[in-house]
Amino acid sequence: MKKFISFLLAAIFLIPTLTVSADTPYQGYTYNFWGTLVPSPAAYVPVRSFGIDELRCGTACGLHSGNACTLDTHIALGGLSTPTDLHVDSRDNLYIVDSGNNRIIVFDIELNLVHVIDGYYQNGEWVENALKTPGGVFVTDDGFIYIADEYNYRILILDEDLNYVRQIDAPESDELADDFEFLPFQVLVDRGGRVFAIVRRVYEGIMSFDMEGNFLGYYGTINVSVNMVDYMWSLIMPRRQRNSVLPREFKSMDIDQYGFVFTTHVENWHLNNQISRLNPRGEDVLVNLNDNVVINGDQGWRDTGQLSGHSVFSDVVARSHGRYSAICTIRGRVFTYDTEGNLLYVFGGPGTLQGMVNSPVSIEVMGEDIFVLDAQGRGRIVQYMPTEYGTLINDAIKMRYDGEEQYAVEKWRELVKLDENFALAWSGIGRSYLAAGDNETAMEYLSHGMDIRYYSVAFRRYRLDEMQGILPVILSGGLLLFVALTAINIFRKIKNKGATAE
Amino acid sequence: MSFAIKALRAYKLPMYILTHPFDGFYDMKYLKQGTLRLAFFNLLAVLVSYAIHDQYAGLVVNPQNPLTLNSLLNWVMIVGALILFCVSNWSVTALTDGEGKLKEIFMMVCYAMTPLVLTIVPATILSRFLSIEEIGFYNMLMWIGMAYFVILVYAGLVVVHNYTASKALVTIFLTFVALLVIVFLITLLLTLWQQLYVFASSIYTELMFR
Repeated sequence: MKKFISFLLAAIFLIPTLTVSADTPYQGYTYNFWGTLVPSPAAYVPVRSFGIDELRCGTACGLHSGNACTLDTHIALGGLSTPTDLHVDSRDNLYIVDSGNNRIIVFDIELNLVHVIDGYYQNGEWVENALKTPGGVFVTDDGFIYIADEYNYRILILDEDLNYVRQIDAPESDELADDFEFLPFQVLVDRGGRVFAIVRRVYEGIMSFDMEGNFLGYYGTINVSVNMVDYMWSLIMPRRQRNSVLPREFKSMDIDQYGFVFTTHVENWHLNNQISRLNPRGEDVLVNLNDNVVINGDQGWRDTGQLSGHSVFSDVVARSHGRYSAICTIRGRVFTYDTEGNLLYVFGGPGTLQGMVNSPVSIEVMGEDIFVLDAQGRGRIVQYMPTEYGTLINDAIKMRYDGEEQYAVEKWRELVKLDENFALAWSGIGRSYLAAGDNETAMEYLSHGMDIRYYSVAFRRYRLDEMQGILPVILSGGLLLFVALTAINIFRKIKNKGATAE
Repeated sequence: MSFAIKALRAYKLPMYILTHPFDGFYDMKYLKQGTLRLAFFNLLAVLVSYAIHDQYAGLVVNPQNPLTLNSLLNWVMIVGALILFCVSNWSVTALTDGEGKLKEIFMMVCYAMTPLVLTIVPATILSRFLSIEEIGFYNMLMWIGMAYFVILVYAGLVVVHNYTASKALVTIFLTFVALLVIVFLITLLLTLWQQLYVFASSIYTELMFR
């Protein structure tokens, strides 16, 4: 163990010189088993950081839009104004919701302008300025565009040619208050065609609608549980404060390849997960196999001053193979977790340097590249690309997810060369040894990775093997001893009998 | 060799206390059996056992970070807690007709630690042969040691102060109150001392810049 520790220490100091120099404005890090921050190579590097007004207009410019793109060089789009959402559709088009300018800007994969959605065609007529502070956008696989048109109190549905299809208005239900205002700011459609909307000032859960736009009920509702301390406080709180204590408030959502919905939500207490994965029935099925570690980003933070407080996730994106990345709005960092709830890598940071973000609002993934939307000023989009290190982690996790642990081992071995602090790699190698039946080596690697659960399994098998080696010796020895003792006993008895007989 | 026999013979009292707490502590107090040296020895044995435990207990029960493991710090904490308990108990019982002297209280607590001496090291050895599912055996052993220790301290308090059972309970409660007061006073003292130090040092710097 001591050797390993000195090795670790050496690794910490040597890493900056060993890794391929990737110029990042931030330091990659991860948390070890004990919750201590340890440096790691950067898993992702910023490759591009651009404002909308800096983009060149391509051939597809202004295809369906009624206005905006008439120049064929620099677009007269202007900057963004309080952008709120990024979305990537199945054809890798990038949708930017420019909320303050009441429009949605669409780029293709080469960042050529495709549309500026600030209106739609209705019966062949172009309706101008139809949006009012849209909050979110979602595009289904068959090309329908769902827009959370917040201050028009509706969810607008357009087809891919921007023809008006229908809209979902404020639901009429006895459940809702009389002064209820329908202000949807995030929208999502699941495989069954159900429409989910996060609505402002609705704390019961995510509102869900059927395909015709009928209100189905709340989705992802939580069981409100009151603990002793909360109850004591509520006894002495003034009524006004008591009424202002809110349950979980959803902030954003994304759907993964299985149709499960990832959400981020504000938690009053930092010891709860800030991300949930909701199954079609709306139950949280997020897996976290790590004891005592919750999925809420940083495990240590300053309490006062700049950049203080626990991480607050403003958006989450579901990635392939069970991975998900979330962006912390306080410190601009992207946290990526695997399907078991292990923290894979952390990158990004706060600031005005290229590749840093100040008030990130949304995160999206295109292939393995990650896009972060920074709402500050005129708005910027930062594109991050995986480094060799990040690619290794991604590949290894994918292989593990697909059950190809034997191929993942090579990746883990390379990872250990790059970063001795990466516990998952150690335990990955250990698990492969365990599968191969080499329990003793497995124990060593698993203990390096602090993978107690699997270490215990390896240990039990090792113990069994050892016992099987030793037990025959002990048992046969015991048997011999027993036989010898009885023999002596009998011998004595006979002797004694002989003596008494005499 | 004769020293070892002597030591074993001297250790008879803690072993006797283990099986006959009331008689044992009575012998300690009134028949002047047992020595302060032996009490210190028992304390040291507990400290060493804890250090051995932290260092060598199996990974499954003891996921220590070797970088931050500091046995000396643990020792300071244990001894500090012990001193705090003895002093606050003494100050409470002095006011509530307790007959125990500070030395007797200290010796009593140290002698009561024998169960810890007897369980921690075996539990440590056992933990090296246990997997996650069998942790219960280890936990049981550790808990038995701790519970027996608490029971012995309680019995010891009754005997040393010549209390009734209920009065002993009340004084234990008061002991913890006194303990909090002491900790509070220490914190206060430290803060004040620090302010005094800052004041003096700033005067010093002022004078130096004159």
